[in-house]
Amino acid sequence: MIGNRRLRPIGLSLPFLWLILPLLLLGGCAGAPVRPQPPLPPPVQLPLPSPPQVQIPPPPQTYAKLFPEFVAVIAQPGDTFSSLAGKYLNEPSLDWLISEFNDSESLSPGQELIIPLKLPEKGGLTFQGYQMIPVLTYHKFSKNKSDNMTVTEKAFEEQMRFLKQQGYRVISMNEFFNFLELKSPIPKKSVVITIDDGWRSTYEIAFPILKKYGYPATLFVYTDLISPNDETLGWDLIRKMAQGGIDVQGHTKTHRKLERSGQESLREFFEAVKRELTESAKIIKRHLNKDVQYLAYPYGDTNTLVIALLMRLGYRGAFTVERGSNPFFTHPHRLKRSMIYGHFDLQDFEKNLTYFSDEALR
Amino acid sequence: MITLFPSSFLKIVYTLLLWVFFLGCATVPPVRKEPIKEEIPLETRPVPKEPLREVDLFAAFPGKYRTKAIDFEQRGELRKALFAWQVVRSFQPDDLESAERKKTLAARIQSESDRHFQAGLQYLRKNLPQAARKEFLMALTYDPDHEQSLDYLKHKLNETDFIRYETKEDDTVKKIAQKIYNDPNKDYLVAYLNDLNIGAKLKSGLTLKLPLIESVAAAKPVDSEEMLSKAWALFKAQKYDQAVNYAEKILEYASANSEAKDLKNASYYQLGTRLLQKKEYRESLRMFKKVDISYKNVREIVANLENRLQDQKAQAENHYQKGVRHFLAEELNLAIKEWEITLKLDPQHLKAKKDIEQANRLKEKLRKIH
Repeated sequence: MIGNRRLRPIGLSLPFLWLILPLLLLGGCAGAPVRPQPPLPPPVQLPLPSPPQVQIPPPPQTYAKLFPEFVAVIAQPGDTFSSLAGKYLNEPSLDWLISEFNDSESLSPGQELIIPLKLPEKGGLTFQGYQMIPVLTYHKFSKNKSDNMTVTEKAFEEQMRFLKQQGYRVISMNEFFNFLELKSPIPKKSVVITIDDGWRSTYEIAFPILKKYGYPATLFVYTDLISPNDETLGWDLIRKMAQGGIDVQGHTKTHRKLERSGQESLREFFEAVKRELTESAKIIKRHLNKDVQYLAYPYGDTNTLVIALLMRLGYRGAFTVERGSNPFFTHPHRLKRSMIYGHFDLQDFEKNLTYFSDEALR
Repeated sequence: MITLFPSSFLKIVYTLLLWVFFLGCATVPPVRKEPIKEEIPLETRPVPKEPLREVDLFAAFPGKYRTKAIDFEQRGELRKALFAWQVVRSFQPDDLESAERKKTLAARIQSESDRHFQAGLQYLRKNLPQAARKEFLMALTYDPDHEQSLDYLKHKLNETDFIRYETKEDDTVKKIAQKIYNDPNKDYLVAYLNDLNIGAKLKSGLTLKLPLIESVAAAKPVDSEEMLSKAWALFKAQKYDQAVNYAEKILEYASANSEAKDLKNASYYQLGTRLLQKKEYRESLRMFKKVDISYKNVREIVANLENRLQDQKAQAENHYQKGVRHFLAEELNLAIKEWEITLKLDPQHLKAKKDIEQANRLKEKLRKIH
């Protein structure tokens, strides 16, 4: 009996115990402290995806962490280098920067990327060498005739296609100078296209091809040539091209050699060059309402006095016709350009596209 | 109440339950276990809401960039290594290794860029610009913001055909033209290219940038022979003014050309003689003064002309005084006539010019009154 008495209270509470113990067990386990997580690195900027609607595919999302020097990104379906460049660098055309920095030519969902927010290498300078920018020069175009100054429509089209296929990027004159002045980087395989003088074939043959490939180009006109006829451009056509992405710049007024002739005194030469530069700039300003910043020297000739005048008049740069490409430290008023002759095949053409000098620095 | 179990059995159960309770809690994983999920089609998969899952997405970055950083360091790509360590550090702010490596690399980059810059300067002092260029490029590769290296690369190495001149007290544009170009008449170059007024007084301490123009000034020296033959042909045709233009152009870039000097002297001599014959003594003297003083009888002619002009000046003054007397006697026409003679003899006579204007105004007033 004693046992019964003693056991009674226990026996009475047993069902209660069966209820309490599992509860305690579960509650205890559920309430066990979670090990503290390491603190999240500040600043954390997560564009949190909005909850997707059932049956409706979610919009492409990007997972990213933003830091002062870079953005870490995990690419999502629908992301492209261009969309990421637009989102984080405010400039979709900087797609190449993300691609080159991550050493990746294509992007797939889940790919981890770092997008630098500061210039990685100024002037494309590395221990292995430095970036060079080829500037191509054309004069006239023709349906089927070619000579040194005239390139056929077929050859020009082939050359432009070649640039696209080989991964070259045609950049504008302003982008080129921003690179030279270390203001912004450009793709590794960058090229500048220029056309001299102001011949009508520029509008009839070159312009449609440039438009087709979406290439910017610079037209250097000498203003005395400009008058509408079968051979030369008039200001109306030049204006149309300017509206279609062609940058119009100076090539002097009369296309005289900017070299002092024996017939003129130093002072006469000085005044004549000043007139060539200022008057042509005024004419372009009058017709296109734009300031001239760049010059192509007629016949490619220049000297210190001409350069001093250009600097005084505020020209940002000027071009010779010395064959070769330009690193960032080239004198901006002695830039090289390579003339593309009518008889060039693609191999000859490619020889003028050097985009890197492998001059090892150490 | 019915006792269901013996007390010893209950004790065992109770003890076991307590053990299960404690052991159960101790072995529960500290991090909440992921629920077992069914594979849900992508379009209906719920977006994770817990921050822990999102942080996990970037879990591979630090390790990956730590490896890259070490690799870059081993290859001597210090800036790339520094950036990679920065990535690690950004993800793991408490990581000591990345903090230490960053500090060490930053100091090494600074010291390497300075070392290469100094080496560049040394090469320049030895007049080895190509070697200097390479060193400045190295300095910039280590530190793209190394401004001095950039300045040398982009300006000082490129602009060897320009000089920088710092203005001194009492400098004038003409004086600077004399110093730099050995020719005060090139003042127009100094002034225009530096946006200065030719006559303005210059502040000291201004830095002027001036092109060296020997090569421009010496343009086409081969043409001088052709120019000389043209110039002599003009001289023979008595077109002395055109001949002298050619001679001066040649001398501008070849000041030692003796034939051009001869041509210049001969031409100015002829121009002076022609004016002398027309009794235009002042202009004649101006022409003779452009001829070398040792040429023919130029010294004598110049002296005679100066004496003559001195006499003329005295005569001019006499006529001026006569004019004043006529004016006081209210003989305005006679006064004007005298003063006109004065001006003919001495075109620089300022009073005569003024008094003629005054006399004419007076005449006009009188005409209106009458």
